[in-house]
Amino acid sequence: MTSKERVLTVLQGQIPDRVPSLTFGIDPKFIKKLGGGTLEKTLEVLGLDVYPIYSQNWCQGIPLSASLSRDVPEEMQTSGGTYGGWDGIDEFGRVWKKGSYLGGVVRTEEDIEHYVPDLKLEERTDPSRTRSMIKKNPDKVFFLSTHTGPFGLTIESIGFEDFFYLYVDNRGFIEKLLWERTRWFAEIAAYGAELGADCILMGDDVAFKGRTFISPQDFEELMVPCYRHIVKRAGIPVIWHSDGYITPVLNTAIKSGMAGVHSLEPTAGVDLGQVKKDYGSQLVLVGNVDCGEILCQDDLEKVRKEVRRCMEQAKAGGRYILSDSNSIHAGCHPKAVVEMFRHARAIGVY
Amino acid sequence: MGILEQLYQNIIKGKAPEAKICAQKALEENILPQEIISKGMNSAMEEVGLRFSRNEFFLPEMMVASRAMKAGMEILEPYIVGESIGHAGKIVLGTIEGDLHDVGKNLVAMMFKGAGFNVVDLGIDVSKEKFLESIQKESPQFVGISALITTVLPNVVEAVDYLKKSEVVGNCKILVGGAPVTPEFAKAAKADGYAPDAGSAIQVAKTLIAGQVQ
Repeated sequence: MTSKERVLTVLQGQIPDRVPSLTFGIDPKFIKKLGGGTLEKTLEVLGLDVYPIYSQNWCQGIPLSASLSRDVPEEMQTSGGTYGGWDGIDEFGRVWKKGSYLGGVVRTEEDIEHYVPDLKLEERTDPSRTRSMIKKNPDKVFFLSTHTGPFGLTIESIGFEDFFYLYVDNRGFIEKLLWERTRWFAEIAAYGAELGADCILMGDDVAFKGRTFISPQDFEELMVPCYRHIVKRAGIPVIWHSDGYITPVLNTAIKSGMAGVHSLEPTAGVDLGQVKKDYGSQLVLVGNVDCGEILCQDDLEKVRKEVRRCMEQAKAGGRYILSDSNSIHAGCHPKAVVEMFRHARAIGVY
Repeated sequence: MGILEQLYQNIIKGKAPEAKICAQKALEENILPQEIISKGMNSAMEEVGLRFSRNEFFLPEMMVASRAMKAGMEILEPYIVGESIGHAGKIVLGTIEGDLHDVGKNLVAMMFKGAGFNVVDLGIDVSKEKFLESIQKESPQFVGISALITTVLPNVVEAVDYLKKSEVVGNCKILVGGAPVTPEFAKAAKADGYAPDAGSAIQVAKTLIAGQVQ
């Protein structure tokens, strides 16, 4: 099978020739070290089945997120983190310092208008480059990968503390902003599909270690209509990425019509075996290889053991894509990352 | 329902204006501020911490409870003498050098304040030298080091080692926490305590205090 056939087979709920693999983001250090500075070469070296289409965001004219954007200037890649050295307020109202998120400025109805950015679809996605990459790699599957899902972005653009106060004091304001973000994201997703994306990988953080930010019941009530809108408008499968312990909200993914879920952080408490048992027939599971510790060291037997664990827990019956439990971040060890994907190809055969 | 019970309930429900009124009424009923704090407020925040640990409360409930506690404290503060506000102990908190995230650390600060601790918050991007300087100045029972990103974990190890080697630290216990921090990491870093979340951090601190007393 080609990569494209393999991944589409998994998305259709059938069993492919082997477990495919992907990553949500790659730190520039890997792009430099493994791919001589080009993302395409890096993906090739790692042997990934999924190639990304990126939707660009900006902070005061500077493109966001080294790992999730096309052209971050080299001098902005020095933070060593996932983000490329942003300083200032971005187009969504998030405040950044040296590439780290510090809070948000959205407080009023006027702020909502100001910080729901113009779609700028062509500028964001660079259609000619995207189409040329798809044409050049007809055997690959393309995911529109963007970390601008509505819930996480609503929290971040208000700021954590104030979001939770407003959530209790003025739910109407939260819902209004949430829907603006939802509609915005849905249009980006629809345009991605129009460009040729096979799937949307929607980054939307809703949980942290051991729990979701808000109760699973509240989350379902609030988010199912929003996510349904995105899934419907996209018209192609949507895989939801969230950090943290998302097990209690996986029903939200199912009720929204999502195709799958990504990251499934083991250190946050996600038990892949249990999730496979409870949700494996309804969702494609993507991830769970610990990138907090296992991928940050060079004992390759530990890496192989981790890959084996994931395969044992989730490979059977299909609907599994191997991936790290967040991204290939700056702290990962290059040898561990290469070995993870190599070993997955070796033992992932059905 | 007595006024302290009303105060307790209002804090748990996150009703700040009502908590403020209850604190005022309790003073008017000649209840000592220390008693109002311990029976009406700290106990409420302890309950909030427990419910958070049991996944009955989530961040919104925890945040508004803390806000209600703070509103009540504003009424009582003028009547509190000296250190009695931090009668449960003192903790110096900070996010480790290289890390600018503070949500987790702020939640821990709220819980410790709620449990009656005096909290010295050093903020974000805190160097090991700054932690030591603060221990010297504040003589806390605890130092809490927070980390959110994996890449700063070596800085946590270095800071714990640096603090442990200093005579100034004495009996001060070092607690570590944050998303990438595991019990195994805490043990390897030779920290004195680890808590998986803000709610259980208080229990860890209390257990360590009890251990010292024994």
